[in-house]
Amino acid sequence: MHSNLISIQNSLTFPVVTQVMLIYVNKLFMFSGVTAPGQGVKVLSSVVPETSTTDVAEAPAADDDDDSDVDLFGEETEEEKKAAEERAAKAKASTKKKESGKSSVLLDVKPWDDETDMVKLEEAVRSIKMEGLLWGASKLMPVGYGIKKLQIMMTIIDDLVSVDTLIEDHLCVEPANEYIQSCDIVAFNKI
Amino acid sequence: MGKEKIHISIVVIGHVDSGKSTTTGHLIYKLGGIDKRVIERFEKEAAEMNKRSFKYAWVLDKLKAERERGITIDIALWKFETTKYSCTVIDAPGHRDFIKNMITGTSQADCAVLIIDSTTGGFEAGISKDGQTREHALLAFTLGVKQMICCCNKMDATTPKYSKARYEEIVKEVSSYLKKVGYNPDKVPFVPISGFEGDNMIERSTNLDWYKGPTLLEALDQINEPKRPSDKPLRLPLQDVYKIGGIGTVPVGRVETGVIKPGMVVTFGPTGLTTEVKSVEMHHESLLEALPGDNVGFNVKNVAVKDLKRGYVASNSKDDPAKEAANFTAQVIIMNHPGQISNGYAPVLDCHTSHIAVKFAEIQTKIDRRSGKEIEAAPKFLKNGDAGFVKMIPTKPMVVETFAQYPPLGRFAVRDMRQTVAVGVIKAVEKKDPTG
Repeated sequence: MHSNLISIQNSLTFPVVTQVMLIYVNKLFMFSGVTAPGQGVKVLSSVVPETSTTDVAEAPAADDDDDSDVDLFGEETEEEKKAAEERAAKAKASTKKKESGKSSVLLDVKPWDDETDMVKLEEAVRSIKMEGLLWGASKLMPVGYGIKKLQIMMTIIDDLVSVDTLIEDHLCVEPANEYIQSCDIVAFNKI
Repeated sequence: MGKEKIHISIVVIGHVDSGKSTTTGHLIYKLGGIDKRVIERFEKEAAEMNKRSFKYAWVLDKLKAERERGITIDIALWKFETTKYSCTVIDAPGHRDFIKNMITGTSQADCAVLIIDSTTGGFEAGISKDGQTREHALLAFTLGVKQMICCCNKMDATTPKYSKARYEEIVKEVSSYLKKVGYNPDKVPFVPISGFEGDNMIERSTNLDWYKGPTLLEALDQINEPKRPSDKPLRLPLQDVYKIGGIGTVPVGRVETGVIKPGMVVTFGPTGLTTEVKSVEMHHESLLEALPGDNVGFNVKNVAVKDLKRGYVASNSKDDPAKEAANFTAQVIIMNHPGQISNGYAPVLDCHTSHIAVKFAEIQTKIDRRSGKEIEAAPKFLKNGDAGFVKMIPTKPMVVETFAQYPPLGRFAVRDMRQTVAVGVIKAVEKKDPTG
């Protein structure tokens, strides 16, 4: 796996919409005629703009244009409420299948040394059972100096299984830690 | 021009009903991410079942079922190839733990692809109501994913079909949205596509002949080549430390910046322990040099296993060696905290491979969500949705760096109550001078 580091030399100032982004969930993005002076987002950046079509991190600074008359974060108007309710009703009525809410995770499980019994290690991993957790395929991968690690797939139901809890409270504590030194997530995808 | 294509990583974000999995699946299916034999088997089955007309959707369903069973390992590493790049795709899951993984894991992306449902009502019900898409877009921006491609999906289902007017409407609204997140929409290609029908994905669609911009594949090829930080000083956070009979101590970790090679004198932060690298191995093969992204083990002289541990950082002793952070200042966004965060709060920080409690010593400022300006100096607390500058003090020796210098060591997740309650980017570090 690559680490895909991005070298950001500029000093980004957080987009200030954060609060709104996270809280005014139902209000953001309703453009239907809410008006109030918005100052827009200012993201300070010391980057020398690179010419590119997709390098978009240097956000526009103070040059607010057409969206300055839209208050994304204001109160919900009656119209919006109505529209939102209609949508909710529609969504309910929809017979469309709900999202599975499952993720596929590839985990690296590392032993203590080159003499750790990898069969026992794998047994210790697979013996961990919880609702919404399904262990999948696995293989031993060479690390170096005779050390091997176990790479194992799991399918989890998002609402039922926390990967962090699985690692911190099951894999890296007794009795599994007799074989396991540490675990790292290699890939984490929606199913 | 080497034979090997440059590797990039893409994170696909969007509402659950935006068709992002279909679009992602389509790319992987068409651009060689799936084993040919698997496709042939599925296609044969489909033909036998007279499913010819639904072949593509049916194959995607089969693949999904296969993924759920977790029976193939390679499938977790979704890959496809464009003309220029070898791409790894991350289809951003809704799982809460994914955010921490986005920060500390290997998932750091070079480009985000935002999928929008362009259908009537779909757009309004999708991205506009979906806090998670916004959260992912915000995180991507905050964590330095500078490039973005926006796909106006489901163009085959707009009213009327393949509507230029609808496309323009979506572009205008999403542009405004992206601007709020921090991106410059003028530099984001907006590609009208149908992930289901395949319009403008790989080949230019005649249904969308009014559109003159790049197809999705072309837009992916136009991504700026990521700068790999091999010219920076070495930073290699340790994942594990082994004692190997006949060889000695072998720390293992991923090279984040710089290079490591045999003969180099390395210093481990935060302790300052300095020693020579005898050899470097990856996948049981000896290396003359390991580069950023490589997961390597290396053999060091005269160091006991107990002197090293996960979270320590190997660095070049002659080139900005890693040191213990006495304190650091970070911009923190509170995301999922049910209460108020005040001075003295001491949750666990996950930063590179270290996992250490850090005290919020001084909340210096709270930032206004609209103007970006300081709205309150020394606020009493920060709550959900707030952003601010915080001076932080680790409770145990720890190595962190500024995000500007060493991005993977300069971003962190704040963990409390079994979830990620905040994320942060480090702006300044006050380092301790080695005492020994």
